[in-house]
Amino acid sequence: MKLDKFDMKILEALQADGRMPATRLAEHVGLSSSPTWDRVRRLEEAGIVRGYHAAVAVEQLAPVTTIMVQVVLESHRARDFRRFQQAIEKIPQIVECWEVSGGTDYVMRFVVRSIEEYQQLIEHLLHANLGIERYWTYVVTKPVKPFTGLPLTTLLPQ
Amino acid sequence: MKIDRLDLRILDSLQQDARISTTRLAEKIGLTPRPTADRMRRLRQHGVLRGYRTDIAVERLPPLVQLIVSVTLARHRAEDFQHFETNIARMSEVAACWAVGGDVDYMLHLVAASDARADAVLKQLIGMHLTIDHHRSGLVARSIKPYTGIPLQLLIAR
Repeated sequence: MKLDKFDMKILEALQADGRMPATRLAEHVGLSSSPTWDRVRRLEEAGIVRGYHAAVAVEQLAPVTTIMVQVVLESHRARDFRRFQQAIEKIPQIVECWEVSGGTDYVMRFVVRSIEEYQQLIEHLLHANLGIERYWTYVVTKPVKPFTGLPLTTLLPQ
Repeated sequence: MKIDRLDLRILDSLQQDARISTTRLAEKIGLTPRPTADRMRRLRQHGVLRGYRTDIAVERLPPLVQLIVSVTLARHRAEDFQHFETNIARMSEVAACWAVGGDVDYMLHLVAASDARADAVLKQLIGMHLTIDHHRSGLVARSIKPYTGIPLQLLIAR
C-alpha cells in the first residue's frame, strides 16, 4: 500500500493520540469526516495500523520488573519457530517479542512482579520442549527511552 | 493514587482497544457513561493513564529497517552513561532504549528509513565510544508479539 500525505497525517495524529475523535482527526488532516475514516479503515485493513492501546504507568500502581531476553533455538525449521511462537503467545507477561536474524532468534520483553516470577516463566519455557538452545537475561535497570511512537516524519519522507 | 477493581478494568479495556466508545466501555464494566468518563479523567490526571498509542506495523512499511542493538560502553564513569543517554535521546531513529544489567549496558530498538540510513545510525553510535555486540544484535524480521499492554490483572495484587 502506498501512503500519501493524508495517510501520513493520519498516522501522525493517531500516534500522538490514539483516541482522537473522528471529527478532530478529520479537521487535523484537512479532509471531511467520511474520507478520513475510509483512510483509517484502509490503514487498518492493510495491517499498517495494528491497534490502539492505552499507555498505562504500571510503576505507579505496583512494583514491576522489566526483563529483556534473547533466545537462540537449536534448530530452525518452520515448525520450530511456530512452536516457540505459539508458546510465548500464551504467556501474558511476555509483552512483546521480535523475530530477529543475526546472533539470536528472538528478543522478548517480560514485565513481571519479581525475578522469581520471571525464573518460573523461563523454567516453564525450558521444560516445554521448545528447542531453546540458549538464552540471555538482561534485567532492565532503567527505561532510558521508552517507546512512545515512530519518528514518522524522519522515516517516511513524502 | 489508589485504584479499585473498576479502574483496573477500565485500564485493561483501554489497553485492548483505546478507541472503544465511552458508552461501550461503561457497559463492559457495569457503570453508566458519566462515572466511567469521570474515572477515565481521574486516571489521566494522575498520570496512571499516560495516553493512547497507535500501534503501527513497521514491517508493513518497506523499506523501513528495524534493528535490535546491544551495546557496551568503553568506560563506565557516570558521565559516560550520561553522555550516551543524552545523545540517544536526540537520535530520532532510536525508537526505544533500555539500560540493562548483564554483559551489555544497553539494548536499543532502532528504526531507520533504509539500510543505508541504518548503517549511518550504527556508525554514529560507534562514534560514541562503545562496542556493538554483534552476536546479540540483529535485524528484526517481524514482530511476532506486538506490544499491546501489560497484564495488569496479573501484576497488581488486589
